[in-house]
Amino acid sequence: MNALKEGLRRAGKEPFAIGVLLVFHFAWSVPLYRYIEGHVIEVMSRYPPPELGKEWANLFVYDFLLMMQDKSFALPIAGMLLAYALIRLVMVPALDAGVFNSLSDERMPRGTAFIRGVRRLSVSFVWLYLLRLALMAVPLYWAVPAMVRGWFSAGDPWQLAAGVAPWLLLLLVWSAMLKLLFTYVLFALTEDDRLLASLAFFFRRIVPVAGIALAVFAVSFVVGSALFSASLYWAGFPSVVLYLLYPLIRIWLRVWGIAAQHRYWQAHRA
Amino acid sequence: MPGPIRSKLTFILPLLLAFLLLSVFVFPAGPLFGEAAPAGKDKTDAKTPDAAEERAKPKPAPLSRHVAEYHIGVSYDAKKHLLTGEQTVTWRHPGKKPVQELYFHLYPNAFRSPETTFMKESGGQLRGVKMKPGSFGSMTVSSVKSMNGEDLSHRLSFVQPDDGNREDRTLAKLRLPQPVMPGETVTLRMQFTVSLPRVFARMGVAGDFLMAGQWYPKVAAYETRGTRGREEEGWSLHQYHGNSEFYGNFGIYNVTINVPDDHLVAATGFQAKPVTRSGGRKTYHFYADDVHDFAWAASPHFVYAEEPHADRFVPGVKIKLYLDPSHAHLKDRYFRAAKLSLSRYGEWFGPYPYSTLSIVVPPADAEGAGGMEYPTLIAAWAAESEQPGLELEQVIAHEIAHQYWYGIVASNEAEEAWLDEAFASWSEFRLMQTEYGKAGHLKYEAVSLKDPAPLKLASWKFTDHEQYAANVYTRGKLVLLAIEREIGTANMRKVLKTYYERWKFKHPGTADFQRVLEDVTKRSWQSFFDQFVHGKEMLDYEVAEIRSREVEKNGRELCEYTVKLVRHGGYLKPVPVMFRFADGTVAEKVWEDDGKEKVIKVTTDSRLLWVAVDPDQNLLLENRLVNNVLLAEIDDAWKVRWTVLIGKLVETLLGWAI
Repeated sequence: MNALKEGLRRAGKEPFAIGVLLVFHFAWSVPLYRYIEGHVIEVMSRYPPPELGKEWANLFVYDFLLMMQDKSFALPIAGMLLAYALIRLVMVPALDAGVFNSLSDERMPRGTAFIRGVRRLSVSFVWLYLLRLALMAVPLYWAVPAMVRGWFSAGDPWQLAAGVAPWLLLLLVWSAMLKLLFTYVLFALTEDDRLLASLAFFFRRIVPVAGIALAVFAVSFVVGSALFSASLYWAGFPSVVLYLLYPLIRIWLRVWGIAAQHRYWQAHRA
Repeated sequence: MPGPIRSKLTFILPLLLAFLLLSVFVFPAGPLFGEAAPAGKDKTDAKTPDAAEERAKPKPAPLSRHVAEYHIGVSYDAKKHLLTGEQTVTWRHPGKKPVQELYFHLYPNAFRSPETTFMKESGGQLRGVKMKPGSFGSMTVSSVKSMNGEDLSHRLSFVQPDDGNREDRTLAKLRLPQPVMPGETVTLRMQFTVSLPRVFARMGVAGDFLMAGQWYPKVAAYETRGTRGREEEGWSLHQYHGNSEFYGNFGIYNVTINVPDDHLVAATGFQAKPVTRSGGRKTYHFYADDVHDFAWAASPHFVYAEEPHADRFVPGVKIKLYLDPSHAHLKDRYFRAAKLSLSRYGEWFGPYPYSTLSIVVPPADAEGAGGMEYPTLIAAWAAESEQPGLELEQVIAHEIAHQYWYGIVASNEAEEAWLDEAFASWSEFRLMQTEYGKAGHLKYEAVSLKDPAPLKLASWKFTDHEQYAANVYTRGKLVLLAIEREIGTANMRKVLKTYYERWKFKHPGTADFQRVLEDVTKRSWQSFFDQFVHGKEMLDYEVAEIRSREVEKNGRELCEYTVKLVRHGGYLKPVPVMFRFADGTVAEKVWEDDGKEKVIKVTTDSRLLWVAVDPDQNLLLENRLVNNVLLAEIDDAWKVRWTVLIGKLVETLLGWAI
């Protein structure tokens, strides 16, 4: 509880880091939003109106799905999404380096601490990020064939859920645990501390560490769902405003999560 | 002689004479006179597959030009999966120029190694059925002799006119010692063996089941000048390709088949003599004329049933069913489908001219043998499900249609596959619609055709089996249906009836069908055939753009909409364009010409909501529907909802994964 409170207080002192993350988020997501909007308009303006009959709509969907399998249509979209993914792949860990350094070093001005962190640690953070992604993908070797088998052998939705859901849950838990584990690795890297000691700390204190993460996740989930639902309900300009406000809250919640873990680590490491 | 004895004889002799006369002319003759059973009839119950059969009616003259006459004796070793055969083949030269060589198809050699043309092109599979590793097959011609005993074996060599693949031995050339002059014959005696593969591509074995298709050295087809547009007469020579089927001249087959005693045999033609048994084996004797191929199947597990069928459109045929035991309970469905097909096709095209039709239902593990046509014998789908859906009737309808389009109108399946497959597909579609109420999903089929190719294309020139099947079956069927939509069903039946009458027992090409169509409809179809048969066009109309501006007319403020339409594909006929307005009114315009673009202006006081090309979906050949409709305005709220929803999904996915 202390760690959560301290983390909350600490997150409030990081306007520079939160600001930079927010700018990156908009620079990355607004063009993505515009790109998606262009395709949505294209599809909506072609979708057969109800006066033409249900068969028109069925045929449209069928033809559209076939079109998506056409390389000349699918490749540019896949390429664009890949470009977005690659930008995230580099920028997220690089900016995280700034966040972690800023949380570790309270003496420097916030902006200086952030930029120094990016300069000093971003390359290591990117490599560790790639390692985390690779480890996240390992269970897919078993999970994907099992889920495909479950999908095709399911006779009803319950069987489908029984066949697929456990694997999805496993993948979620696995990726969440890896993220937490690597958070503690990054703490050690940021403060030039012993990596093994940090790892040992993580495994010894896995329960409170997971508890902190779950608490932050629960708050994020409630807030996120409420904002998302509101943006769908109040479609139009209010929806756009909510859609833009949500990232600020989400980023702030994320910084709080890291800060809370950092406080816990600092308070209880030997 | 004493008086009383003479008086008795005087009385008795006339009585004896009367009795004799009565017993000869009135009472039926019995064993007393030792009268033999009628020739060709088995003394046992005639409804067994062992009995000999007679033709429904005697044929006064051959229906076709008999070019090749085969007398074949074959023995089947069920343990070694081997056929040992001897054939005497007489080839009568149908042309006008001497020929110095004969060509033979040795189709089983397609399976002799992974390097054959068939195996390389197909990847060792056909219609999803893969070859079992190591299960190769082959045909060896061990001896070729002339009728005077001269050994010609050394004159046999393999040729590969299509791809030069030296590993392919499916076509062999025999250089004759003397040329065969026009109208003359050459007779050869050949011995051959066939090592049967595990069936995955039409012929072979599966357990105890044997499907013997393309199992004998078959003389290649010789085309006379003018056949299918040929400028010079000559052989039709092609190797066995991954996609191709078969072609041959009409002739006579006189075949004896020796099998283990417990096997039943289904075959082309009719059984000419009763089965004879000896040494634990039995021999069948089949005869068929006016056919261009001979196939047979054997199994100890067949459940046999036969039913006659005759009506106004069917002179008389014996339907012989050789069922896998797991489908014995479905015999009524098979018979019904066969009878309906024979009757309807008889009505639509012409009477079925043969006395028998055999239907083989392969076992579940012989799926490679199923769905295939041979003259007077068809293979249904393998008995994989105990309660199959309508695909049971569909395959019967399709393969019986092939009796007309392939069997009797004997087009070249290798070079012009659409002439039998599209026609059989059309026939099957119409039969299922008429008799089983199956509507079909024609627009979905059209939309699926994303890789159209010319219909008149050699089978092996398609990029892969998917493109081949999609075009020769589905696109070809849609082309025929598009023709039918233009000329009406009554005229379409007239066209097909005329085509059948004009080309039965002959070898037509695409141009011959076009000529029939033009003769019956009295119009040119050249543009249609250029685009959709010789070319790979489909139809694709797009509402490309809607622009609006305000105009003033007679003091009123109106809106002028400019709608641009684009034609990406071929041209068939004028297309309707529908305009829907906010006040509920609808305007229909027609794009009459064959231009690539069309601009239509509409001035209205009501907002235009949307424009649609071909709103009633009458264009069967249109394969792209995502661009047929354009809305003039979209709902902003839903635009935002969809954008936020999809954007969130993408963000979450990328955010979670990366």
